[in-house]
Amino acid sequence: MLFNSFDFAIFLPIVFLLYWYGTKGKVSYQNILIVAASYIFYGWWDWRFLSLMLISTCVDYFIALAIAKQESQKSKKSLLLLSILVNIGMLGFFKYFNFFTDNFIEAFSFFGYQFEPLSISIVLPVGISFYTFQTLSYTIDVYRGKLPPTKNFIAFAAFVSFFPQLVAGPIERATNLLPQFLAKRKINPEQVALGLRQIVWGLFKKIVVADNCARYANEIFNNYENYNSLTLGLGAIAFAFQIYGDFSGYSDIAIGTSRLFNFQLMRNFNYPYFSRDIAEFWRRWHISLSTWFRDYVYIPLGGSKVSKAKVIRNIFIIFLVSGFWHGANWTFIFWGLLNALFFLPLIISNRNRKHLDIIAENGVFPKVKHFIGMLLTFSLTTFAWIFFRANTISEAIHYIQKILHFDLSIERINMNRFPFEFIPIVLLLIVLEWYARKQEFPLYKKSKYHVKTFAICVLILLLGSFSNIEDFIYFQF
Amino acid sequence: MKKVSLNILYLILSLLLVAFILENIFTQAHYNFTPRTPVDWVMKLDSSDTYDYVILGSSRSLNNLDPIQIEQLTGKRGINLGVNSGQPFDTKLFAQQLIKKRITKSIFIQVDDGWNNWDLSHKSISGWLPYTKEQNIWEEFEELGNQEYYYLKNIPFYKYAKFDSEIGVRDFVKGLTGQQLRSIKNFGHVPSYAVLKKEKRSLGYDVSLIDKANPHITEILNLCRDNDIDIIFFTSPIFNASHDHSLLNKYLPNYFDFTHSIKNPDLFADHRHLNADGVAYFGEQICHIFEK
Repeated sequence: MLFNSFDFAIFLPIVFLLYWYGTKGKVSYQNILIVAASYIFYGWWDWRFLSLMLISTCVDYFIALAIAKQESQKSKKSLLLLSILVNIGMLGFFKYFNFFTDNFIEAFSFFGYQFEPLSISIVLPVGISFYTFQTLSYTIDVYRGKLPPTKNFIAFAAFVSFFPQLVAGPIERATNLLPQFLAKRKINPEQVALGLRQIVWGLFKKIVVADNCARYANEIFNNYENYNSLTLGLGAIAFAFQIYGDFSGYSDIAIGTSRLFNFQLMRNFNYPYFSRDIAEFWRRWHISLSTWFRDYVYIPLGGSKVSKAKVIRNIFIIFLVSGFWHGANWTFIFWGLLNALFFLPLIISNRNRKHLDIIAENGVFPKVKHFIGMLLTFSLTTFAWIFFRANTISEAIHYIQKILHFDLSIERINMNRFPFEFIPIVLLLIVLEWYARKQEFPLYKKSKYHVKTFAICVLILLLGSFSNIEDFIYFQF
Repeated sequence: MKKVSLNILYLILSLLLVAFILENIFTQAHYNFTPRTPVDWVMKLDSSDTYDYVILGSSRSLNNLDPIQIEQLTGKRGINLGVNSGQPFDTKLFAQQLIKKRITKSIFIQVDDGWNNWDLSHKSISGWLPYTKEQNIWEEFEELGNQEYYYLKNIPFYKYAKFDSEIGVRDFVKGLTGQQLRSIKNFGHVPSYAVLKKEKRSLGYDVSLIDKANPHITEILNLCRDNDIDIIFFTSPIFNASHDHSLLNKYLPNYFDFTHSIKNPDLFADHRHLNADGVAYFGEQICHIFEK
């Protein structure tokens, strides 16, 4: 069930009404309803994979309880490894099996050994990368003693399957979300209103910004041989805003939907394209994943409290793993590598935590050096997105080679659209977000008579790409 | 919570009002602005716009026949109202309007394996949606018995949102700024300059027809007979077609089958569409039926 579908428009109000008016305010009933709704939501896509989610839920629920009962550190560690093995094993099989076998066969064929191709048709269960990381974080936190294990199975099942953030995050920490499933929840009109405004903003970013940009990005990337440098450059920019609008739009809808049920999820995006360097960009982009890797991979490796050489090693590990998390393709690994390389000068010169404040906090316009930093950071991230979007690394290199021909003539794009009509839409997004950069999202503050929300709804109606509703990009991860 | 519920209600009502206003503005734009679709064009024609003939059908009419060339060869003046992905249902709607407005006495219809299609094509039908408030047009949609068309007609602005690429805001702006449908200056013809790719030349094109009368074509035949309109059917060339369309002789009067009339792959843009050179060649083959 997609957030931008008619099905969800029916599903959400029904669940909302049942949740607040059909559970007598009892937490246990509310949690049961959330589990049921979440399993329906997920099963709408493919009910067969509900079993995987149930396995993940049961394994981590019982292992966490067992960890807490163990006296010896060794037994606790063995149980933790078991949880990691089960979760990463499922993820590895469904997401990476064909990648590893194909590359294994290719590598050995290089040395003259021939193996029969072993690729099998595996459907990637939607959201598996998200909920496995979420349940893993729970077991790791219990192992570390940061959190007592819960005995309430339904609350834990609701934490794992919570439908607003089930299929594409934010990847929540048990320390933040699980206690909310155990606490009494009352309807909060302010949160409901705020949640609805955030949903509207998320839909704007998805239907207006991302789906319109997608039309251009798809046409240009799929037929890049036919286009010149200027068009290819604009195609890369279109994809940069497509993926931002798509994923941050999803996150806004997820967070807004959670607010309707009086849950507070973590913020996942913080205006990343206003970043002044790559380090700041990674503090503002897909925050829940970046901080997950920071807390569960980077810090255990020593983080920044080791020698410079090891810090650099850790940075490369984080970015390569992060790239690989996105998908079983060398393009994602290369994308991670590129970001690590962009990060390197900041680490070496100890400038990776230079920009922790809000840009132009006390003014309207940024300083010239900050503006240049923003443009440079955007250019670097957009350059890396080419590898993320391309089907193969060689395709991405050809794409970049064509950009470097510097053929800047304006050409017609083979589609039923105005030439580059996504540009004014993107400019509108930038202006709205710039003026809201001190708030969580542009509709955060209630305007008089809800004029802003109403205006955004009208823009969705007028400019929304309804004839070409794209799946959320991050569903494939 | 009461206040929030009221605010949600006001927001929904305001949006419905806006959608209703936009629906009317966009619909009026189709009636009053420069034509943006072949349907706008035919709806704006009146009895003073008479033509010797009108060609109807799909992109295989639109791309494959050039009225300017036909006029040069035969002296007959006409227009091409083929639409991309057009099906017999859309052809019927065009024919009804042409006859109602007394635009021509001769209708040429391109037929092929679209014969099998009794429903409508989503892609080609969008042009008719702004006009579904007209009773005679709506009756045709209603007969299809598809609930979706009821929603498209009655939910304010739904049609313009759902078909935003075809009749949405960008076409509204183009209409408002006087950018008429480009093919009108070619009397409806849209040329193609592509050449059938070499790797596709060895492939064939499978033709199979249902041996049953198409109800929409039957209605067109009856309408033309009742209004004393000449009707001619033809099939445009197909490259490497597995069969011809001779079965259609059983159901169609005045039928001309050109399926296998062109063998040269250089004259095709793809298996079903001619390029500009192919159009010139085909024009000479077919002009005799326009002369009659």
